[in-house]
Amino acid sequence: MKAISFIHKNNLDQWLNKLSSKFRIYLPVQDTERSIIDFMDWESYKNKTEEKDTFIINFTEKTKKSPKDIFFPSTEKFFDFEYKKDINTPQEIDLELKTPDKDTGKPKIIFGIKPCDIAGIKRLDKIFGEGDKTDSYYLDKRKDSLFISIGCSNPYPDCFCTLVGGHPFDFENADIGMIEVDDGYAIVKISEEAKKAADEVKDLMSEKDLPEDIKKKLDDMEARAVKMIQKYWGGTDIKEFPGLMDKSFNSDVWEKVTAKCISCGACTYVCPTCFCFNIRDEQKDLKGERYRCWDYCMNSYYTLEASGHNPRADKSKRYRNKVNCKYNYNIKRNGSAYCIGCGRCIEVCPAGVDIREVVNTVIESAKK
Amino acid sequence: MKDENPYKPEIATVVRVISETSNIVTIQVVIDDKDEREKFSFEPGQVAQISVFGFGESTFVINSSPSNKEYLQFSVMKAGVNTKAIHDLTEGEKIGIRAPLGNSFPYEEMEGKNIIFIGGGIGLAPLRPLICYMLENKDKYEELTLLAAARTPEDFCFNDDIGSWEKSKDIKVISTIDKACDGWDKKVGLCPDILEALNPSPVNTIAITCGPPIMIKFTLEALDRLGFKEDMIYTTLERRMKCGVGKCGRCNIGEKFVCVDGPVFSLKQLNENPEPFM
Repeated sequence: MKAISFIHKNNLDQWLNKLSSKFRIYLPVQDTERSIIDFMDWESYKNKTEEKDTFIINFTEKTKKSPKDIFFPSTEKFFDFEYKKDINTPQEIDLELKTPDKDTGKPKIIFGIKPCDIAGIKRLDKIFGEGDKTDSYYLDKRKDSLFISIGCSNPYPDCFCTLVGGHPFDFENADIGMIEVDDGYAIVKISEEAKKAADEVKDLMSEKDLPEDIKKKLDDMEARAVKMIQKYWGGTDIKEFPGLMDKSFNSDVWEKVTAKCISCGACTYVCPTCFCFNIRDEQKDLKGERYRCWDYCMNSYYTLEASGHNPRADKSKRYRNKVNCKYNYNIKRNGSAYCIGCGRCIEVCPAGVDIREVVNTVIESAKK
Repeated sequence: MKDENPYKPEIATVVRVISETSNIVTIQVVIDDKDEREKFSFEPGQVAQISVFGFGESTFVINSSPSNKEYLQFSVMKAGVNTKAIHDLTEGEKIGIRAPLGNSFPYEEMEGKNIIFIGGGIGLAPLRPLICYMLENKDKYEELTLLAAARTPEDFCFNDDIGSWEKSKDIKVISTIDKACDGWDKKVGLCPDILEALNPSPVNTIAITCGPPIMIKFTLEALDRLGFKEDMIYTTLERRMKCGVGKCGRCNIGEKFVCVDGPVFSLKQLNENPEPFM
């Protein structure tokens, strides 16, 4: 890993301030009173810190949710509708649809995003940005956004990015890649798109400030981080998963691995790659709106048809679908696992279901 | 097309409501916007998302003939909230429509072949535009046969169509009901049994079936016994779709999305998919 520049921690605030004149910055903020870490925009963060001193920027820990809701909000209006009635011709009712105004604000920077979460957004890009029809709501928000990423020097016990094709210092899709070292951040990548954003703060960063022995330091950190990630699945390559999943599809192992699951869907709520949504109408009098909201495939209503027919009435079938969606169907459809190994689903599961162990049991059964 | 909003429906007006059975209505609708209406075209088998604003949106096959430029037709069984709202529609009311969505029957690949349609109840609806197309282009196809099944005589949809097809020399129509009843002089028996008794030759013949899941299941087994190969059997599926454009993830069957990869599938495609479609 080659460092190209360095920014001291004391200069970070200035950098963010400068960037905020041209970008909307989102960064991980912790409310120390509630120990919740979530992505928050820079303006809100500054307002909050004026109110209380319990809000801090925290680049080390994992945010509870992935930053996907910046581009794909949990609830999002598609349009307003209004039935129009004229008192003189009450039998003639007209109808008007009005879509929300386009997002014309400044482009976004997701600052301090971890490499795995970028991988998550790249997977959403595939779903919403490709195919015969693209998702104008998502693309509108996603347009021109930049990722300023900080590598994971201290992966958590439930992190497993390296098992699904990621890496704690993977900056391939980052615009600026940084690694915390000594009292600042070594900058290891600046993309063409981010050059302008970096040039404006040239005076805040310098190659000369790089700590001595930087190459060795980064290499050691990288090796240490990779070593910290627990190994599972006996080294099975992700490309082998579709075959193994197909093979174990009708195995009774699914009943076993889902016994603990309570179908609450918390795993899908925090998942950076889960993209399913529902579409609903709300109406009061003659006006209403149609919106989408995140949905979860662990819910038995998810596939329940109006006729009463339900293709996935059992929990084990729903869970099998979820795991196959991530480790089989999307590898076939979109070329990568729809799991980025962030481990949030493991952390949040109230029943202690660990997807690494589930996948382990399933592939073991396929190899038998 | 790329930057168009895929979720915003076109406004359309209901021009006619036809009661088919005690719980099925057919609506005929016309898109309000002149340009959209004029450029609209669809292929047999394609579906539409129909909105009654305030209630929701659900998926129905477009069952008018593709050559019909006057209106689009949908047949809807009352089952849930939105279908009830559709049943309550009257002529002149406004609805939303997003269409055409999904794939269609590969009718060009079917040229030069015998076609047997097997439709149960409202399952005849997705077959109707294809039957219309093939009758309008009869010179391209060999023998056409329709096996229409319903629980009772009152449960048949498209009685006018069935009546005129029965008179046509271009298509052979066999109608059956589950149990004998007064005044019924046609076949009596479950669809798969009647199909087997009919004993159609699988040689150069394509079977296309749609109906309730249980009927499809036994019809496919009957077709198998009759010697039909899985790539000569087509069906059209439904799932609880939402977006209709391959984004919302709701309608997957294994790795396939019914909304964009379907709704029309050959049995071969379905058998290759890990998740069962029934």
